[in-house]
Amino acid sequence: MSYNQNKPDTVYFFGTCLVEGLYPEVGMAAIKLLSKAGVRVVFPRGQTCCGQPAYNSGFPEEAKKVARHQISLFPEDHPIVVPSGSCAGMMKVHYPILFAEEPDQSEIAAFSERIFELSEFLVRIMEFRLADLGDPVSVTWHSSCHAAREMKVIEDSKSLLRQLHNVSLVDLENEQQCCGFGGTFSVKQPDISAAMVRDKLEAIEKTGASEVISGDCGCLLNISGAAEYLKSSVKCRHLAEFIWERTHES
Amino acid sequence: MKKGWIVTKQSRDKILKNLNRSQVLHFPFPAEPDNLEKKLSKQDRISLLKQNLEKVRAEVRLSNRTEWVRELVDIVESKNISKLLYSPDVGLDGRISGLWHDAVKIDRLKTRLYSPAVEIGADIRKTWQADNITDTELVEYGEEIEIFKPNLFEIDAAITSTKGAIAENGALILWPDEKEPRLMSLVPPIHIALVEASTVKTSFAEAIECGKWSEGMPSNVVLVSGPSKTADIELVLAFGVHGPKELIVIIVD
Amino acid sequence: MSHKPFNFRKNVREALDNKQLRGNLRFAMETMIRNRKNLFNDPERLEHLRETSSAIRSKSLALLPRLLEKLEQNCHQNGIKVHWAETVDQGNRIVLDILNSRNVKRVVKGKSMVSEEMHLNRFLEKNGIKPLESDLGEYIIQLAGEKPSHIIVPAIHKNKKEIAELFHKHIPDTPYTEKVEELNAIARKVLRKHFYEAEAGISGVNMAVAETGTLCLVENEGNGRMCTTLPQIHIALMGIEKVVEKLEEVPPLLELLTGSATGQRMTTYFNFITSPRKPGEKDGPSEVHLVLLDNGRSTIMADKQLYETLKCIRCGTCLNHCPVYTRIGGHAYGYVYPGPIGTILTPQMEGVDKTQSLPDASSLCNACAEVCPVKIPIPDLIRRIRNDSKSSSGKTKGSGSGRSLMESAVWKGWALMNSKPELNRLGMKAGSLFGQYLPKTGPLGKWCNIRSMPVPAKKTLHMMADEEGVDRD
Repeated sequence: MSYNQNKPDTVYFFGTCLVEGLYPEVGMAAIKLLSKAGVRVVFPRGQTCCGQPAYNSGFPEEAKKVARHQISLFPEDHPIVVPSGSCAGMMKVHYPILFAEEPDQSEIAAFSERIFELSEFLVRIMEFRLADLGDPVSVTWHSSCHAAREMKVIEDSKSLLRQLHNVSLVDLENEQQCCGFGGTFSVKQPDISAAMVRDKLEAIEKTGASEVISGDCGCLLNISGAAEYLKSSVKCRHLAEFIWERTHES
Repeated sequence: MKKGWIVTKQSRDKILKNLNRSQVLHFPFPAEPDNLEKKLSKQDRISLLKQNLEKVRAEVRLSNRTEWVRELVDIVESKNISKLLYSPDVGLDGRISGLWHDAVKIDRLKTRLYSPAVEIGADIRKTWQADNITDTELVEYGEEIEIFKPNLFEIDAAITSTKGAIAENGALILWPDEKEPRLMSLVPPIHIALVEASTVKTSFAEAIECGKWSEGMPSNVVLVSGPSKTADIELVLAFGVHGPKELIVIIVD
Repeated sequence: MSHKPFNFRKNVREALDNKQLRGNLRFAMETMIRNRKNLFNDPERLEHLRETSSAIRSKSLALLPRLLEKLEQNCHQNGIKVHWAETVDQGNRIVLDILNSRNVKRVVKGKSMVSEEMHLNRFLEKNGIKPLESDLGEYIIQLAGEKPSHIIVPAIHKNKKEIAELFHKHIPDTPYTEKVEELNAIARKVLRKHFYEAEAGISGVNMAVAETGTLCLVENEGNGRMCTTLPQIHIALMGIEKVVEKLEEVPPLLELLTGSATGQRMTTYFNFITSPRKPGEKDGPSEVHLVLLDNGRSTIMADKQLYETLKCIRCGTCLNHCPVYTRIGGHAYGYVYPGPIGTILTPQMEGVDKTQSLPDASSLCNACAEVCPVKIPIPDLIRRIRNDSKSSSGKTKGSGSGRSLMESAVWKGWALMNSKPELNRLGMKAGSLFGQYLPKTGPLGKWCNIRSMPVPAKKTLHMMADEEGVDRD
């Protein structure tokens, strides 16, 4: 491994609450990918949630309280890598807005500067190269709203998939349209949300791909939950897990 | 009415007072990158104008100073126009003989010096009288609309001048006045417009700037791009809903 | 027009159950998205145009009181009479006074969202004047006794069969036809007669230019020109925010307006009206009135975040791109302005207490912000309105009305759980042990309407990281 002075030697990993409780294997895959890319990964204890649910629901004070707790856990000046476009967007784009009127807003802004979405970090900073060890498979890709429109990292995510020579990527109709998750939206407007996830599922089925890959566990929870409930054969996987499984030697 | 005026005056003061509380700051404009405002050559402007007008279903004919009337005759014959509304004393850019003087001033080449002025009204009349070439009746917008209205709604087509055109937008600049009232280009089912090639600008911004629009606007200016249209039913595009069903543009070079 | 009490949840259910509506909307919105995308095929140029236009609108709002005074002064000089209405009611009375004092009975109307906001037709009808809507889409919904469901294409929820029925039923001697060309021809014939006879025309205004006292109207059909040129009297209705300082600011706004709205480089007509008929001119109205409507706008202007709502140029593209609008359509929103712009504008005009859960009708997916031609941060403003709805110290009308003790307590508990690691660990553990036995009620019940229950992992990421020896500091 050659030393590259543009590449940091250590990063922090922020796991997100959905990964913590529902998809820990996604978090482990992301940590292993980062290690494989040549960087030491620190996963600070005590981290919980970025605060987005309260922030989007009209409770900014509660969001601040939770956000401050996370900020306190990442004291060193390492990049912070997040396996979710949505949580990364919250921490990078929205923390500065949330704390705009606070006295320490400039420190918060500096914290936000250190946030990277996983595929963005692997591709743009680590110039990560993949060797596909898996069997031929065709998959489709769902863009999470905030990965696409806040973090703008979809091309990075897809470029990772394209490096896998046995994986063929099938286009998904309305790929960048919201799947209907939207955090609390899914339970505050359940009918609209249901209509949205039905359409998403239908579009995925139409591709004929065996799996849908995405970079956000929120979308995956929503789409896989609906797929299971509606007895659809659609399978969902997080990008990190999908890549890790195909590229590591067991 | 008196009482109404007082109410609106009070509202005015209250609205303005409210607005003066606002703390909205304004932000500097982004710099204009050089590559965005490209200037085109005259031939490119004309071909872009033609292309953009044709995209919105206008018919475009390229002609010159001596032959444009023949195009007009061809149009009225082929479209079976029995009544053509025109203005007897209007030149190509809306002013009688104005163009000829401009040509003398701007272009000292002999050929241009003797190029004939296009006086739309006079040329049409001359052609119609001399050649007895068509049965199409020429009609003038003789009186104010209150009197002329029944006649106006019977007209098949009208021919007007233009102040110029905008290539990027595929739009004509109509500048109605006493001689060419506003409704000439709206009520008749066919609108024929004459565009002097040298008045075609690249962009809308350029037309406003070069024409010094901000120094004084006439009662009404209309940019026209194609015949009237709608897509209000199932987004199906259909032409000729309320205004003209056809727009025919003769570009005179 | 009936005036049912607003029930957002019910509206949503009805809209979602209407397969016809879903089909119409989906097709129409996808077409409009595609047309816009094809037109704006140079991202760099589009971004520059948006920057410029956003700056123009911000500047106009920053200078608003001065620009309005200048507009008034220049209009006055040009012979346009300016009226100021603080409320919808005042606006309606001004229009009625003008019509009554001249004994006008026959009125034609062009498309105007401000007139919808004023419920002008209902008001005038009560006072014995029935204005005829002349924009084809508006004419269709007037025949149907409905309201517009989209800012740009008001009858988009109707298909040609429904329109064919309407024409056949309401227009004498009209055979049933589903051919769009023929339907257009029928409307042309009927409306021409009305244009011919009309004594007054009412229109909206897309923007007004302060430096010249000019009203700008954008349209494709020519009905707007008819309404503003043929009758003796023209009454233009405009929200006070629609003014710009200079004529040179019009081209970028126009390009973005038509491009964002319909994917057109240019509409058929762009009409600049600067004065009534001058001596010697043979047509044009002899009187032009401009009614400036506030209706809460000057209050919105006082808020340094929410004022951005007023940058809106009413292109409707946020509706086309909104995954919520495209599924429920405009009528479900209950008020005049639907879609994302309605989600922020309506609560500010009517009060968050009136609009119920409307501000929740967004997944904050950012599609609207991505396409908004004047860069209104719609999702941020939706969050702000949600904040105000939950907090009595908010500035939006009706602030605090969405607060419930229960919900506040839940979020307080959530904040505690997520800022105290020990509590969080306990919570996670409880989740992994008992999560699957939770009763499917409340939010979880709603989740499970169409999804299976989330299954907590046996081990959390913290536990796995410890087992695998990941560095913790």
